[in-house]
Amino acid sequence: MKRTLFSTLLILTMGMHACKPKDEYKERVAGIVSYLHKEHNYSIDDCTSVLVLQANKCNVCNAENLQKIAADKPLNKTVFILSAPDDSITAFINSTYSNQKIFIDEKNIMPKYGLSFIQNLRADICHGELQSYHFY
Amino acid sequence: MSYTRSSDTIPITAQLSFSLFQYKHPFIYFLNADSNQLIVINSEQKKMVANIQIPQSLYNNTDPGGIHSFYVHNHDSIFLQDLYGFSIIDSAGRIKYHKTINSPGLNHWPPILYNNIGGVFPMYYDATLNKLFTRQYSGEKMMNEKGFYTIKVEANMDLNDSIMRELPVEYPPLYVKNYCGEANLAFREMDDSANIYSFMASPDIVIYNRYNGHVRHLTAKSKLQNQGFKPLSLEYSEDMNRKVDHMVENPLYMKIIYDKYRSCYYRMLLNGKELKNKDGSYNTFSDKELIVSVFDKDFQLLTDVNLGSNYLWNYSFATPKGLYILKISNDTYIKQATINEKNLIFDVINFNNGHARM
Repeated sequence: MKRTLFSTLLILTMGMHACKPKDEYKERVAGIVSYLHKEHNYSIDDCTSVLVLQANKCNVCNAENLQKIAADKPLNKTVFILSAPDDSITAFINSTYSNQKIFIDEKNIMPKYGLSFIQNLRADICHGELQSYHFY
Repeated sequence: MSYTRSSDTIPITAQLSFSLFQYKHPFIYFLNADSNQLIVINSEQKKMVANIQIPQSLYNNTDPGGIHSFYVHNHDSIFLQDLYGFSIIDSAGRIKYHKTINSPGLNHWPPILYNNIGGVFPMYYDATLNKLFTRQYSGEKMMNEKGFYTIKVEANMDLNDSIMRELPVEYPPLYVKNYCGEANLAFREMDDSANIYSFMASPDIVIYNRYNGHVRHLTAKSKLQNQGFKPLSLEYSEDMNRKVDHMVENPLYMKIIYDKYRSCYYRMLLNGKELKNKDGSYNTFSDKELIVSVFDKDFQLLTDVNLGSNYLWNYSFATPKGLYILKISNDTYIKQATINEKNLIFDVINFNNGHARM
């Protein structure tokens, strides 16, 4: 009922909906490896959970979603990519994780790598290969 | 038909986060959704000339709060629409009229709701008819259900009797036959006598004469539309990522603007865009190219112009100087937050033709 009432054009406001990831995103999600290497000179040599947080999309990074992400234990290393600077999200990451690394997509380049999603994303990558992914 | 393109900058003296606007020469009214103020800017003097505070009772304790639509008839009759009703205030912020139109039951909404769904269908007051026009839609059906698209898209309320009456205008049949994903917005423009309706997935439009009730169905298709609209499988109705991709890939007809200074209409089209380019890079919604099609008073196509991909099509209006369209800054951060900038930079498109009164 409420969704009918308030569902609005995605361009104007972007809501948060759960969905089952589909294989069609695998190629795009794998673009994380190339993005990190080319744009941030960062290579994933071991097993790492990469979390892409859509900081500039309405309500995607609310407290509830961040808690859901934090509830799932990451791999040995954790890398965050924020789609835009956000002090509160950065503070949450720093208070919740240890040995983490944070990158910010300052030039808004991620979409060109196919990483423009309406949801937050976790990709588990080992030795440069995508093992699995999940949207939050 | 040729056109010229120039630029005009409207300075904003305060941090402004606007969600709705109205142009009424020479003023631009912006609703600052953060402060619940109506900001009035004189576009010729390029300065803010008024700041109308919306009474707290109209946006407090609502879910969600805030004003969803407004229409400035004159400075003493400013129509507001919140989640539950209509109000009229004056420029001092005093409430002169209030009418509840959406009363939720204990656990459900009424079958028909009246509100500015999507933020692209603002209310309108016709002083000759003394009627208030508003978007209506189903309060019971979800947007992925066919039943949602069988409800008439607009109603009006006669201020003499406060009764809502629906208008005989429906979504095009393709919305009932297919699932169109998020390409489901209806737009409505007003000219001197008619309401003109546009739907995202269809080149067809509907024209409703407010004074004699006649309805006409026309095609107002751009010659630059690069492909047909492809419906989406209903299995993706909960997959927001797929629905966004679908919006990128497909041509989308957006708002129509009536230019009373040139007796013509502009129709916005965001052309279809491949998700992946040949060089391996990807496109997003903001990469879609904006086509402006110009139609004469009989909706005969005069010309199409491809303006490229750097425009916020929603923030556009016709002025004596031409068609204003808000331009996206080249700065990527500003691109994400243009609505918070202190200068609004518009492109001014001026079409020259035999119909123009310039």
